[in-house]
Amino acid sequence: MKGLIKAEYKKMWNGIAMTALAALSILTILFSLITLNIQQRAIDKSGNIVSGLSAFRALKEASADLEGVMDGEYIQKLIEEYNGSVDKQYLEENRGFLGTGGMTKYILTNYLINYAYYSAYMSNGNDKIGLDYDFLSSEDSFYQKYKEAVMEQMLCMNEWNGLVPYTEEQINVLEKKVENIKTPFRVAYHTGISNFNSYFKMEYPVFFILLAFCLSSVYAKDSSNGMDELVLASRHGRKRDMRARWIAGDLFTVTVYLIFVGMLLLVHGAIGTLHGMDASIQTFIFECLYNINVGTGEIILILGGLAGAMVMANLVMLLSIKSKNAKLVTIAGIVIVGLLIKQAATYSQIKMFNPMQFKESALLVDYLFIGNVAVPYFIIVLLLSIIYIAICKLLLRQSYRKYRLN
Amino acid sequence: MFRIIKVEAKRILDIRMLVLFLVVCIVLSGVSSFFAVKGYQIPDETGTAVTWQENLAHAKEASQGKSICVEYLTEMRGRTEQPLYVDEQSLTEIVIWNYEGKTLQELSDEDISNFYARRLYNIRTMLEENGRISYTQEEKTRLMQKAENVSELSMEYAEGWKVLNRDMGSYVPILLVLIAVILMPLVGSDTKTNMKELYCSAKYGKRQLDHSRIVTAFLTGSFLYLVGIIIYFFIKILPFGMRGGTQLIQSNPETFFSVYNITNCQQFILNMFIGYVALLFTISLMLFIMAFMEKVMTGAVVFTFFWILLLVFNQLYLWEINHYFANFMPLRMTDFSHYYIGNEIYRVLGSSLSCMSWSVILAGGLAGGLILLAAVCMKVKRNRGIV
Repeated sequence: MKGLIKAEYKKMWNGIAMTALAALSILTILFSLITLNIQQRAIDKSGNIVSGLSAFRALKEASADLEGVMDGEYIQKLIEEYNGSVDKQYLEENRGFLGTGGMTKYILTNYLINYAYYSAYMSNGNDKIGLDYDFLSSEDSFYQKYKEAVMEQMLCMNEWNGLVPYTEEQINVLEKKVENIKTPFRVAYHTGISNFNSYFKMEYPVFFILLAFCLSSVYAKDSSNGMDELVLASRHGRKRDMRARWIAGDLFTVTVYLIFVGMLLLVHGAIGTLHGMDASIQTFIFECLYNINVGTGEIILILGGLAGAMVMANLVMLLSIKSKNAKLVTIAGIVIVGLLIKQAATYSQIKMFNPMQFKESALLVDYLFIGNVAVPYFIIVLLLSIIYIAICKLLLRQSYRKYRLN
Repeated sequence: MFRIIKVEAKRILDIRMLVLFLVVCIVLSGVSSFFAVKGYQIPDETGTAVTWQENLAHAKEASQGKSICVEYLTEMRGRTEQPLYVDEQSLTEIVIWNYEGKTLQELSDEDISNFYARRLYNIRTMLEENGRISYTQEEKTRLMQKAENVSELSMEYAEGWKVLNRDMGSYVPILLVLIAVILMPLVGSDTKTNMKELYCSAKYGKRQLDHSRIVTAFLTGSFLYLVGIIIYFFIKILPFGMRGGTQLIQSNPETFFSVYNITNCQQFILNMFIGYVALLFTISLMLFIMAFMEKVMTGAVVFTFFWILLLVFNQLYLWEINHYFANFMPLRMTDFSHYYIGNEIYRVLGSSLSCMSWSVILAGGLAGGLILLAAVCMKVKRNRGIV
């Protein structure tokens, strides 16, 4: 069996897979380099504006003195420093700077502080960077305000888009979780990781399309590496080979996913560096309730993305065995990706079941209540993926014996 | 050669494929028409306050013989009820645009009498305050002269043409991709048939076949494009009626500040022509990719990723990318609205060209270049004995 899987896995690295992977690589590199180079500007440590890709290095250098633990002393020093800074003056004179790709080192800290005030209504921009708040008088009052903001946002989200309104008991459970957030937070420059995250989300649907192309021919009869008379007539052709193809398809998905993520990490590591993995996740995703750092959060998001990709891969293989036509499956795969994107763009919480959603920051934010037990969304994603894949596998197995070329 | 073209056209466009194409066009146009019609329903707390039929019927009747003039604006200003029907809303929207947020009721007599002068003032301000292009005096004068040609705006019913032109930007790109997908197997070879060696050894299986296939691609593509547009035109305009084709595009709030002195019908024809040039580019690109990659599926990967790149750039909306690249690519080319309101210009060899003209010229030139490359690629591969 091992040899069979190895052989099938090798067959999957055909011209289509290599071309698709090359195209995805070119898209990733071109897209990141061009867009970040055109859009980004940063205020460096001397107060000058640095444009293009070098803006990220300048920002990192400028942010070095902001790294640390955000306790009371840190906050008071920050207020003093910010009020006398060139950055503040520049932002007052250029009102559209932060909303149009502009960056200052203070976005790391000041956005978090402003979140404590604006909660669910927080956005980016020059008007959300100021530090004139009474709750900044002490560490306790800031974190108290911050926790209230998190709770307010969770309740607002539930009221606006929730599947079922929270009960009193469920609200109590959430309040306890919010109370348990460890403070003070650790702050560090993480714009490179943030860029990685944005581009990963943007290009994730493209990865699904890559899977549609590469795996559509696994059980097709119109492809050089698909099914044919010889395979079906061989001793293990109908059952073992078909199972080997399924396993090889899953292994292939994991490999190309790692290449995809690795490439993104490489590109964004080179542009903005991957510094800041040890910062508290709350400085990255304000409403996250877990006591983890940015690095751990990213690993969870990447694993969630892998789960979604596995679901898509199994769906394509199922379509492949059902229709036996690689071209048709590819077109159907692209249409499915389009529909998943459309569904994921809605406000409805039904999208929690959509594999396209499995890479979102909701993984680190959302909970689904079973009675009064709050189940983290990333656990739901894991369970959903297992269920989806199991259904696909079951339907695939049903088609093994009945497989006919004509 | 004619016989080869006929055979190739039949091979690529058999009856099953043609029916499938027609069904897809009808469904897409039907869905587009359904949503356009739905947009004319006016909801209230209990459900639908005014149905789309009532809304359009009111607009047809109330807007008869109406044009934007002092009397009409004064009459509408005197009305106390909120604008409800589409004819009233169109006028309200135009007034808000023209007077920077002022409603009809807030207009003074002087404002009303200066309606067209105000429009010209707004256009001039847009040209002067454009953050991306600094127009020369000559360019500004030329554009303003074009804008001055609109001296009276008929506000008669033209909803059919308005939605036709508005939604063309989402229908035509799908049509282009669909046509390209149908034409892919014309040049790309299928792994399972393996007939290439056989037909390449035939008398007319070399240069003549290659050239015939290129001609077939353009002829079949043009035929499908025409059929697709005709289907779209009739299905889309059916619920609204044909009235309003001769009305200026400035009566549409979306193109009120356009400097183009053209009618709705002319806008549709222009859009159709630009879409056709985009189709020529798409077919040329597809032929080049297929000639280079040989296999249908491998070529399809490259073609798909190219469109994904265009889609991603389109969503980001970065001016530099649009100005120097995307404006000449099929996706942005068929996003027709920007030609009429963008006032984007290109300075080529000392002369200033509108975005519409330059996009058409450059895309046409690129299409020619790609076809040449495709032909060379086919020849080189044949001579090397790769195929």
